[in-house]
Amino acid sequence: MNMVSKNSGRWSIKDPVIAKDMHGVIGGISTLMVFPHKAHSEAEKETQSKTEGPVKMYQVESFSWLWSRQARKLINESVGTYLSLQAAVKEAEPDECKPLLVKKCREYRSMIQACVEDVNMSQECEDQEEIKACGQLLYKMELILSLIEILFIDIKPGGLVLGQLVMWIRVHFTQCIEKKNEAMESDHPHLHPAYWEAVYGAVLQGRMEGARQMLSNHSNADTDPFLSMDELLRKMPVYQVYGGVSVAEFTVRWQHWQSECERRLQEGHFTTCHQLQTVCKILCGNQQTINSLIDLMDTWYHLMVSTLLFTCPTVKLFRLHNAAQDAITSIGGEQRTTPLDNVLLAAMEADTHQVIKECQQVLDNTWFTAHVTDLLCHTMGQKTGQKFLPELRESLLLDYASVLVSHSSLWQVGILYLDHCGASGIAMSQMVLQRLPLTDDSCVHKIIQMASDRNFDSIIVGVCRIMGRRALSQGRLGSAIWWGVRSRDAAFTSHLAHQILHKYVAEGRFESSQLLDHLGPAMLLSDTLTFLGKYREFHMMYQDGNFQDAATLLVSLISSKLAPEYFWPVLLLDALPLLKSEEPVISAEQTYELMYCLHNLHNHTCKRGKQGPLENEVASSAFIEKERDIRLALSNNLARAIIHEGSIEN
Amino acid sequence: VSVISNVETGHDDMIHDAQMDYFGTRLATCSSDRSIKIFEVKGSSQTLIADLREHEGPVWQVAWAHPMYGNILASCSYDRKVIIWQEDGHKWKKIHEYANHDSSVNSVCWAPHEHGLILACASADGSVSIMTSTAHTWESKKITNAHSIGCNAVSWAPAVASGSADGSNRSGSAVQRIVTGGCDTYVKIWRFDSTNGEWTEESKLEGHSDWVRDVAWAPSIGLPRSIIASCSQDRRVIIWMNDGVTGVWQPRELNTFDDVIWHVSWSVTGNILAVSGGDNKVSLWKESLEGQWVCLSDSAKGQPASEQRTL
Repeated sequence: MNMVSKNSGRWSIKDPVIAKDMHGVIGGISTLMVFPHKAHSEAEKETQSKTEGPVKMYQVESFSWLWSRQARKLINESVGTYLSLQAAVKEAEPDECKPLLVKKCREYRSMIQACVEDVNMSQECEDQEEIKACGQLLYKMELILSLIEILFIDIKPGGLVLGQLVMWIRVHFTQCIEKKNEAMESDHPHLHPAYWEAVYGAVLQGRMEGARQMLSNHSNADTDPFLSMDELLRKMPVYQVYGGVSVAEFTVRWQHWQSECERRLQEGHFTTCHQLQTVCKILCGNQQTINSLIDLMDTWYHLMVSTLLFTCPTVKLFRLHNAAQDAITSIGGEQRTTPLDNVLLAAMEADTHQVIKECQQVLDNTWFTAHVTDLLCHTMGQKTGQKFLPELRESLLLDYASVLVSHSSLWQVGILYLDHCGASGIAMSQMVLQRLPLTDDSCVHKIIQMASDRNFDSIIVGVCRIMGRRALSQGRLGSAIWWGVRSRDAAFTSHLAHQILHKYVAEGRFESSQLLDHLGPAMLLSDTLTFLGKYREFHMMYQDGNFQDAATLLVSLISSKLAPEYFWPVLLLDALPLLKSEEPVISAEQTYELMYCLHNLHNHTCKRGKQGPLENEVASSAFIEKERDIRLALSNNLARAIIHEGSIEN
Repeated sequence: VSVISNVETGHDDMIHDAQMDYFGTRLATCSSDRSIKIFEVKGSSQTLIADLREHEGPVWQVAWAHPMYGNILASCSYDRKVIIWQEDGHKWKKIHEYANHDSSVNSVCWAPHEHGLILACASADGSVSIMTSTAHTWESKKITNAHSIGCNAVSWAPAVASGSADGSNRSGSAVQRIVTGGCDTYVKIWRFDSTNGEWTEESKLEGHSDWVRDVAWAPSIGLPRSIIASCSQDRRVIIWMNDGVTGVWQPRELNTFDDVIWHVSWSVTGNILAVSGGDNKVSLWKESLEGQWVCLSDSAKGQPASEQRTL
């Protein structure tokens, strides 16, 4: 019912009901809800319009290559490199930066390579189209990244770039190797149709050893032309950056060598074998010959490198774009270039802005642009003319992170990236942490951990509040109090504490006593909670037989007015066994307090009794029965205490 | 590249609004058939969990409150009522009904949770009510004559005062602000003065030439500036920006469309705006680095005969 379209960004929904009017609302972090809509004014007329079918709602979500299995691996591995890069760059000396950046760039490349292998292995069960597309995408990414490494990050002293470019071509264009293997495995290599193509291919990539090896397998390998060619190939000077030979000296040697090639060609050394003549023409840098072999090279950049190899091996970086333009013209001009070509061309023109822009056209995933821009930003440092880079970097990283955070298993990676995106990153981080569904305990703790690592106190408070509410609605009072305490919500916690106390009054037992016993200093959050904690302490002291301290605590609870009024009957009932104990544990002072409390309670109860029926609670009725008992016990204890204290004084 | 799933809502008539809750796990839809349906969303499947029928007219909008107050939903309708619902156990019940408007209530919007549990309602009688919940009672304040003829939309400003992106708890210091759009073509910003407890008009933004249909205040993205989007029957969407320094709102026209624009809404990340209207398209807009608003994609309707676009 729907078709998706990558670059043009348009997609349609087939639904007759929507045919009249469509309405879209953004919901969740990255979902769009689309549904048929009716204009307000029409609806107000209350006409009974029949809809042409069931009214459906469509949930549109952005899908990205980043959700695929291969990308998942790439994402999870690259975050480690990214983070270590950020940390290392901060601490590194300026001259340590380059090797560090080269290393990180190579790490990224090896990750992409690992993905390529992964893709090659997963053949049978998965969607072939998708696999193929994925493979192509990864190939492009690696191609571009390796070129960027050569042209921007790993610039050799003197800007002599051909050696690296030749390696680059060799890695990415392997047809000549395949052809060579094909030919060499046959019975008569030199008769194999691919033989000479393999030789040309090898020479064009500067693989002189390979070419020599192939030529030595020719049946005429002992004849003069072949020996002559072998010598030329063997003696070709190759520039080494750290070879100790200066550029000037190398140029002299190379020109000398090339003149020798030309001389031999003109003297007719190779007239008997026109293929060898072709090879020699290549060595002489004959543009026509090289261009004629375009089919072996496939792309303008291969053509460019091969041409430079035999015309200007000491080409400098800043001259590269001229050579690139020439090569493009040779293959037919700009109308034959692809978006990928544009990226490579921009790189050769050292135009970082253009490179990034073109990358966004070629690759529809943000992983590449984000990481490449990050690398380039650190490479360029403070160079003039690149002032846009830091802002662009932050923006692209934000884009990348915002794609990650909308996925249920990649959000943590997204947050790690957001840490390095300035103020906007922090804001998005907070928003994401707040909006993640609190599905289970481990998830909640993860969120709280991440929030606390970043000092997002308000978020922790918010999450704890929500969890507390949830626990309350599920009747788990103890759990709710624990969350309430963590959220530092005094009102909520008081409410819960009251609930627990009411329950005790009604049912005579404590729920979640373990949680309550271990509140510690947190109980000071609210008065009611403190009372609850202390009351539990009283219980424990009583059970331990520590009657003296228990009595003191009980009385202090009553006299401090910490106890809510509905709980006084319970406390007085608790005091009863202590009053009647054999040894006096409650002093005269304390007894007076208890009497005062009883007196107040009695008055309030009478008042309430006149107004309406008393509450039907267990403790309340028990209290009324025992009221006489309590009064008697209080008086007896008072007498006993006075005597006891009097005699001690004496 | 998109993945689409669909749900048969079971509504008998057009849907006026659909809102996902805070976590994206619940969906509420309301319709001209006077009902509100609530779905539980898991991945790409949705199951109906409640069907609420208390309104006596088409229900225009629904809004979810912050989950720390429990599962609470507000709805407003042509029947002049605003109803607040709460989930209790697995059942939804009405916990409050507000019927203090003289005509259709067009829009409801919950305040940021930092202010408390507060709901703003905009009505066709030209006034805006602000309802605050304390303990278990609801108190309301009215801004009468907010817009002449009628008030069509209301939206709250984010609570985090722009500029403080450090996440520290700023309770008590956040200023309450709302933006409203009405039939008098104006977009107005109102501020709550805590000293005298009244709402006062802070800014009046002129720019539209016809009824303003919807306003949306963008979520804070950590920068000191504020952004409001408004759309109108004059077929335009205007982005109003306040840099947080000068206090002046600068308008920038996003685009002139082919037909009336009914609705604008911001993504949660605050940087993407969804615009939908009578031209039967939903388009997504984002601000580029150069400060221009560019369209990300168009989502056009399909008649059975339309061609499908491929790469």
